[in-house]
Amino acid sequence: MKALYLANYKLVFLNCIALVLFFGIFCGALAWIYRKSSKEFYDYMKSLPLED
Amino acid sequence: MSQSKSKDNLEHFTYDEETPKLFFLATIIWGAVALLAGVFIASQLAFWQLNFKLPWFTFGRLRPLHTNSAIFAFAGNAIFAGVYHSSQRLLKTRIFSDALSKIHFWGWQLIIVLAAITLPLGITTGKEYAELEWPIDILIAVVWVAFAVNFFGMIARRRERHLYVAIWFYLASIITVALLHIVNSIALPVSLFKSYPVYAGVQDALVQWWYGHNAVAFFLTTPYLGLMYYYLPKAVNRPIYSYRLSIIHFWALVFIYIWTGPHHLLHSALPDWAQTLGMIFSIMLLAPSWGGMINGLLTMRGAWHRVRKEPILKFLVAAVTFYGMSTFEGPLLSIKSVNALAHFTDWIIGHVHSGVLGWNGFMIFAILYYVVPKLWKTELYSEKLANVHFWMAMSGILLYIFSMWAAGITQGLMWRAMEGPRLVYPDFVETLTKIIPLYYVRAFGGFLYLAGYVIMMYNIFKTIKASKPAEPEVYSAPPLGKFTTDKQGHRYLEGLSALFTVLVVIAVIVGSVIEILPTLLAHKYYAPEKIENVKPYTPLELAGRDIYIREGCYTCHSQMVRTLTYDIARYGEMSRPEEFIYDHPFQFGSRRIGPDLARVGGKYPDSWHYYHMYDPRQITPGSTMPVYPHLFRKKIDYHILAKKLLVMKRMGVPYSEASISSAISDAQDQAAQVEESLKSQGVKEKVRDKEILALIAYLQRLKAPAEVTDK
Repeated sequence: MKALYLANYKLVFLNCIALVLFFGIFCGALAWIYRKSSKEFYDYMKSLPLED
Repeated sequence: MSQSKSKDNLEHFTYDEETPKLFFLATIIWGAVALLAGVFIASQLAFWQLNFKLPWFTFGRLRPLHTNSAIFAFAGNAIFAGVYHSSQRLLKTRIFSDALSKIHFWGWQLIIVLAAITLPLGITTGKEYAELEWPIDILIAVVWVAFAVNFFGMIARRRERHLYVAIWFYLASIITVALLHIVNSIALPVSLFKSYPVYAGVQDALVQWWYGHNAVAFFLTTPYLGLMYYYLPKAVNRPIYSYRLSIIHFWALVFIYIWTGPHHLLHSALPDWAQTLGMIFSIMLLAPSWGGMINGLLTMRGAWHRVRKEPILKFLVAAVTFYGMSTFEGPLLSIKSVNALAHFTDWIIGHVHSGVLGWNGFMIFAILYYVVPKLWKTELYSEKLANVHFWMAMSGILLYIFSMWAAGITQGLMWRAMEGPRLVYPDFVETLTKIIPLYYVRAFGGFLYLAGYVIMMYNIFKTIKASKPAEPEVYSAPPLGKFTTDKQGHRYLEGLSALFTVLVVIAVIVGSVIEILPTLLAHKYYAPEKIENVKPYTPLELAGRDIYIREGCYTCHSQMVRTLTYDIARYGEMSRPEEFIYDHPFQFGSRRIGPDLARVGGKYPDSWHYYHMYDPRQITPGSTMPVYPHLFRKKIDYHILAKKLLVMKRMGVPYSEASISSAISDAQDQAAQVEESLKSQGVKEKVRDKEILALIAYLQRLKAPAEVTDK
């Protein structure tokens, strides 16, 4: 039964949803990380190895 | 007492310098061993006589010693040294526990020594980069836990609220390596020195290469990226080019890397969807990898003129460039059509070495030249010698990689050359003898790299010798204040190290489960009873298979006829997943220095194998295979066979109670039959009960399965 189902899998839209989901999360993360307001914090983080 | 508090609310503390020092020294020592072993086995492939007719000196047994010492001893000790050294400074705290540090250091060295003893003795699981037997596997897990507690203890006691990107890479490495090691090492022991993995055939192959490729990812890449993000800014004295890019680099890498393992099994009996998934994710991996490389190289902006003079910067720039090049080559090799040419050839060996020697090795050298003078509070003995080291190592690597590219592409093209339905080079050995001159070049390249390494050892020895005892430096920092939740975004996330760890675990587990679970369940749908030849190994064949594994035959011979026309033309019917269902462990192999053996059964008479194992060149002139005289002296261990069958039965191999109780006599009877067969083919020597009989029985068993019938 399961083997038959897997062999005849045609729910391609699920793959599309997964693709859109992954790509959406990636774009969202990109926008979040590159937002302008966080510059001060990133400058602080960048300087950490040079502090000691 | 390592810390105190002053009236100005500053805490004063010292760092543990002894633990990083010990790990750095261990790195230097084991690196020499790993490189020496590498040059030696590279020379064995050019001059077979270097196998010395001694069992523990054969290529098959020494190759795992080389890979294990390079990865876990050389690169491993360097990781621990760098992680302990940099994390204390980034977290502004001393290493969590001196006792755990000692357990970690001495435990890891014990593991390496045990590996150095057991592997040449042929005590191996037969799974690449995971060859160590179960007691050592348990020891690895225990020592790794000590490391993890020490690391997470530092995070818990830190005085810096936010975790710098290097710490994320360390954290992901520690978590994921633990997961990979435990899942891949699950096995049932037969004795103290022998176990069988619970996975079989295609399952085992997928789990193994999920582990194998992610050992590259989370042992040889992510920790080194963490080290890069700390030591590159330190050496250049400039902050990393883009902190934002490092965040994307981290999350994309951690999420994507875990899916790429199946690219080691392209065109094999692995389900096609898993192969494609592995290929696609491998290609996607190019983006974050190059993001990291670009971030590293752009950190050098404004400091490029210093590269001409400073050996540390030379090594760093070269290391990051090699990272970029090998992470370009990896996705390229994962494309199915490219992989069809490159897989099982020396191209892969060249690719691996550009990563380990170029990326890891050069990064380690840069760190050593940077850290040793600082830790021992002195100056580097000679910058000139460090520059000489750089150019020798660079020349060595380039010779190595170019020779392996040429050898791989030559051999790959020869394997696939066909005129109509016929192979142009039907004798495998023809494709080997053509590339032997390139093996000389490779051995020379390795020798140059080793010679440069010896110069570094001398330079560092003289540096340390010139140092004088000094008081430990005292550092000051305010204690960590109470955490508030008013911070936004990634800053908030980094403050919550436990949540951060959970997200890393999720990123890693998602890919693992989606990829591995269907294959683990797929065995239910195979129907081995329909295939005449797919039945459990006889006790003698199983004994022979264990000898095959012990001798490391898989390091030169594959057992996987790919779905490619020229593989089928050369070896016979393509391999199917069903035929490996009782293979604990799988033996697909990853390199063909000799021909594939999946269809060798019945191809030659027993006496062919007999004489071939005694002196391969008597049968195949030009072969570089070692001789195995010990197989003609050593007796088969019959007494352990019943236990072996019992363990197999526990893992689902359908041995009956009767077959287990008669294992010894069945094996003896079959050995007598092989002996008789040899006699009838003109073999005069007495070989009663000798191991060669078991190995012949196993090799003759390796046949294509009969046609599937739909009854």
